[in-house]
Amino acid sequence: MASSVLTDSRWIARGAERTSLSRFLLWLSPWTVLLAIGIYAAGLCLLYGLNQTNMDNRFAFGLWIFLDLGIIALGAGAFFTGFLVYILKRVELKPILNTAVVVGFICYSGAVAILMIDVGQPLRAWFTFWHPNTHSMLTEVTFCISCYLLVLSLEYIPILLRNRQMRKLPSFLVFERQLHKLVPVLAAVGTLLSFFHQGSLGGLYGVLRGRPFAFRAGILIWPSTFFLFILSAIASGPSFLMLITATVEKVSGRRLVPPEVFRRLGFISGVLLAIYVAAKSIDTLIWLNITSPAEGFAPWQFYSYKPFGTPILFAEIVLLGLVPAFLLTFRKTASRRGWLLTGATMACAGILLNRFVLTVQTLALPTLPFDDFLEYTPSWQEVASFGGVIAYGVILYSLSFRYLPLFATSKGD
Amino acid sequence: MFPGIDGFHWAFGHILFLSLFFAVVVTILATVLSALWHTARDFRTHRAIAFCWKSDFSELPVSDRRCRHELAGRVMSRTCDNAFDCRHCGKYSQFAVLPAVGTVRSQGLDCSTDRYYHRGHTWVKPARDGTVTVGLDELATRR
Repeated sequence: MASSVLTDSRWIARGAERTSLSRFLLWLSPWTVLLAIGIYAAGLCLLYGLNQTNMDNRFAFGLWIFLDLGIIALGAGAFFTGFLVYILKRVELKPILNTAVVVGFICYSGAVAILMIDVGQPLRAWFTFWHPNTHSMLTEVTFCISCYLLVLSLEYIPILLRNRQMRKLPSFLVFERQLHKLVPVLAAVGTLLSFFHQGSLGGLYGVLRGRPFAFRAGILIWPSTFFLFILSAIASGPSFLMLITATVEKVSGRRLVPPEVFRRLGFISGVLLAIYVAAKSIDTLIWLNITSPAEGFAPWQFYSYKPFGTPILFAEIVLLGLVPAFLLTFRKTASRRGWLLTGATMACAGILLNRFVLTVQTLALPTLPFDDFLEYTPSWQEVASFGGVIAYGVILYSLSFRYLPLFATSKGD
Repeated sequence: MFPGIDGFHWAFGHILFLSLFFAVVVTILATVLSALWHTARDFRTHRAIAFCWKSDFSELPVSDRRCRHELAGRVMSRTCDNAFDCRHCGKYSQFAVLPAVGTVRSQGLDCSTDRYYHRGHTWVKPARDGTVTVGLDELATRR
């Protein structure tokens, strides 16, 4: 009798092999504890205010904004895969489409959740919609991220409704079919929104005239970081999808997508990364020789503060930029799974390092003669909230993988 | 956000930004409403039933999708891809002229090959004069 209670096979897709429910619950338990601690820490921040963090008026961006920028960049695989499949008709990437949507939904919902805590007054979040400052990059980011999360939710619904038990309800089944037919429209809208908010997140730093380490010249109203953020996000998104899929394949012990999909994603990621590295190098040279001197700053002085020396710049452009681009693009390395995944890991690490540099290094460096180099260590509440978002992602993905056809290639697709 | 709200100006930037935003919101809402409307229409026109059956059929394992001609012994092995709707089967007429082999045992039930069975445990048997006889299968008649 006990065994019949502890089973969820009715909810698992027919023909799919999944681990036992008890092992699955065992896997979820540490993540649930981490999520609970994260929710408690977030609750403290919402209840007592941002004095629970180690941020202040001078160091206003910390671990949370790094997390936001990082997961939003890595989550770009969702919109970019949708764009490739529905707009550019790269149908060979279809097997990865559902998992891309789920990863995107997790990344964006996690980012919005952490932003709500970071805003400090989430109940007043509607102010930004009702009284928008149309000259602010943040307004564009807020509007686009909110709308895109809505789009991702709508793209997630058809996947959710394909659950074995959900399919038994005729109204759900037919609605899923009708919504699925309209997903190309949502993919196009998502591409537009993602393009602008990825760019605006970069533009946000590029327009900081008071932070000469981040300030960049640009084209028309957009600083160069606007374009660099878009490029880096669409370069790292496919790599992150590869990593997630490879991890799930390793954990579940079975092949989920054909090897050609990995090679195709790797090639796309590698080529875009190479373009990004070239653009980033040109941008850095312009900043070093023109933009920064014009503002009255010797550029190398920014790299004289430890630990933010030139090795970070080298790591960002060469070690975690050029090298993974090479690994992902060249046939000899790309044809070997180990090298391909190494390249993908390095590409993702490079983008995270870029977001860390722009968020933390920018604020830590002194900008006025009487300024000091600032140090910032996140409080446990910040770290716990960070961990909570990661745990939320793992739990939601695990549940989705167990109960939804994430890698199915049914005729209906 | 709207004219009359504090902070709104009739400036090019405001108009462009808010127009784009509202266009996106309207597109998203129209997509959802369209899906809902088409769903309701499918139920109204009974297309939903056919779709649900096709969806159920696609979920069936291969062993449960055996062609009626295989059950009748006309072919060795054949899997149905037409949701058991022989009207859309290109091979139907080719197999139908072959002689059937008496009674077939399927899913624990004896099925006669001279009649057409429905999954609702009923059958139809056509006669030479054009009339048909309707009946219940072995399961439905079991006490």
